[in-house]
Amino acid sequence: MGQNLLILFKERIFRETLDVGMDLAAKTGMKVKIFAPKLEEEVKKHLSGKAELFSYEGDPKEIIERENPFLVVLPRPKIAPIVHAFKKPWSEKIAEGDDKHNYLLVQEGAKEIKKVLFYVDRDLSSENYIRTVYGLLTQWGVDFKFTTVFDERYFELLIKKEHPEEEAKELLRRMFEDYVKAVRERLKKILGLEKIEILSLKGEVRKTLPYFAKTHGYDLLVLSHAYEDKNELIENSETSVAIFKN
Amino acid sequence: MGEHTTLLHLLGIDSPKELYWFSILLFVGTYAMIILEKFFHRVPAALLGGSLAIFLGVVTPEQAWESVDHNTIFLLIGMMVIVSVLIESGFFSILSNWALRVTRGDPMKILLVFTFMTAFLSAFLDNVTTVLFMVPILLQMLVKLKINPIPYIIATVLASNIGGTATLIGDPPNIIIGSLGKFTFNDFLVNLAPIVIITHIFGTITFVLYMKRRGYLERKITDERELSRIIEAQKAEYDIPLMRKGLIVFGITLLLFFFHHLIGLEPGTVALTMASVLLLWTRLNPEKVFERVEWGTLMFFLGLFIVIGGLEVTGVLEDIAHFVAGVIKDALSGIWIIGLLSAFMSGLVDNIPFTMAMSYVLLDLQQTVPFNVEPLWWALALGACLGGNITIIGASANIVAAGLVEKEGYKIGFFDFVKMGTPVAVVTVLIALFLLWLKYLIFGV
Repeated sequence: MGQNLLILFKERIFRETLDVGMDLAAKTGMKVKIFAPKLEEEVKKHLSGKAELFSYEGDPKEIIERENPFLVVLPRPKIAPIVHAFKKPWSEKIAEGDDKHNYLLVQEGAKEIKKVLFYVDRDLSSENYIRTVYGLLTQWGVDFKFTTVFDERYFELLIKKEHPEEEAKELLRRMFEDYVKAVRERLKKILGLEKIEILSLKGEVRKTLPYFAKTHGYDLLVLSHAYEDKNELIENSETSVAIFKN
Repeated sequence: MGEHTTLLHLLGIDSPKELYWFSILLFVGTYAMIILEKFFHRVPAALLGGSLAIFLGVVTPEQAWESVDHNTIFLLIGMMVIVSVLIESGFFSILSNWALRVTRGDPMKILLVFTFMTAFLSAFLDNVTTVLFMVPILLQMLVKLKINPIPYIIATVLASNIGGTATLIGDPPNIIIGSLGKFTFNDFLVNLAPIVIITHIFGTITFVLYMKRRGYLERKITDERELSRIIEAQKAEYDIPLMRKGLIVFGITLLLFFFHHLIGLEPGTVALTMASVLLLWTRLNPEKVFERVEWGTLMFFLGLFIVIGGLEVTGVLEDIAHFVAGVIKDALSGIWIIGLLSAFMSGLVDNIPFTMAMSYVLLDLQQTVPFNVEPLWWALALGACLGGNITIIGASANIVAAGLVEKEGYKIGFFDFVKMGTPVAVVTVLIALFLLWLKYLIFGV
């Protein structure tokens, strides 16, 4: 790919973040720069020749702006959900507040990324987003699945008011099928593929998607900065999350 | 009745004495329908009673509105909306998963953690809501652990009725008592919470002993690896930003409850305002949130308030108060009379209509008797809430739990409940009334 990958730490160094970032860089041919407040000798030895290492002081956002890499890899500490409601990790704040860069937040404890859920929205996912993520995941060699979510409950309330139960169900079923078909056709057209498999889910995106990812053994959820529920999706995920420019 | 024309007026039967008896007839008829729940649903029964009171002219439409206690209705709607948002956020699922991890499948720990959690949550949420989210989680977990869930479900319901007794917002009878008796959130905390904490300990000992004797506390899965697999499989679907907003608003609501008397606001006004703020802040579809509001319960309250309003307007309650005043000679003996009567009646009929009727009697009683009737209000709260544990029809939460387990193919029989509920109710009512009596004996009425 010939682009830069930036791995950034603010407090301590998370080994899993390093491992995932280095694996991705090795498979995609990206150059790696690692910034941390303090680099231990053991880490330096481990990464010798594989990455450029820098120690820094100050605001990590300034480094991201200055380096302007293709992908920023940050650690994401594991926090209990109720604690998470009142304490947001610094890496989440950065990814949520900046839609000019691509981010990969590596969940604490995630040894490797094998299974990936690639979220595509019918209306909001741009051609650029789909091409970029598809290209990266293919090069990385991970097992990825396209997924889309149809928020049935939004229409359900409206339709059930005006139609009998069975008729409403049938209408919703058709709307769901049309939605998935539209996403599939769009992906086929953009990626030039003949067959596309999509995991089609129903529910509220911000809750359904992270729940599906963690209950079905996915290691990474990929989404776009353009999604209205981006911040909620990041916060609700217990897996690693990647957020790409649209 | 003035210029207002009513059906009874047209028929020429609208003298005060005739209206007096009509209001009693409507009251008895409505309560009979509520008791005969096999044949009538309690909500239309109460609504029919209330609307007939207006239709026949026992009360004017204006009097009917005035007899509806808006504070009770606002408090119920407000809290139901706030709790609905918290349920939507997955907060309670997270709590239950935490409980499973803490207990690690140990039946005794499950019983203690779940009943304690239920009692604690019931103090701040209404019992039906607590039971609605605790029972499915407990049921699902116990089935996986191959443990008979029925005794645990009953224990949880008993704990919810005990815990709900502690605060103004914990149980519908308390909401009615707080509103009609003009008691603050803090009044409940000071007068009832310490008694309820001690009572809960004795209640827990009672059902633990019962379950132990019956062999319900034996571990069925002993393999640690299988246990770990079950625990790991429990995942909660949640929404952290929504939870954050829900918990902040819930926290502020509780804070305002503590100080509502200082700022001159009724709890109902606080709850409804905070619920509106939460809806606006979360931008949730209100219709989705309102799906969890128990409109049936609210309609039930509306109808009952009007039926009892009829008794108030025609002077029946005043007469009952005079009668009770003749029986109760002082506040200390009154604690036992009102407390035991309330407990007994709450075991037989739903404690909401009973509390509502008794509250109006106490309001009239405080105009009639020379002593302070405040201890009688607390005795009513303790009797009505704890007495709801005697039978399965004693409290709404019991009926809701029975309905939930039935959906999953289990059944809580009337006598299954009585076997466990009655001993717990007897122990808790006697201890609670004794503590209340002792408090007033030592510190004076």
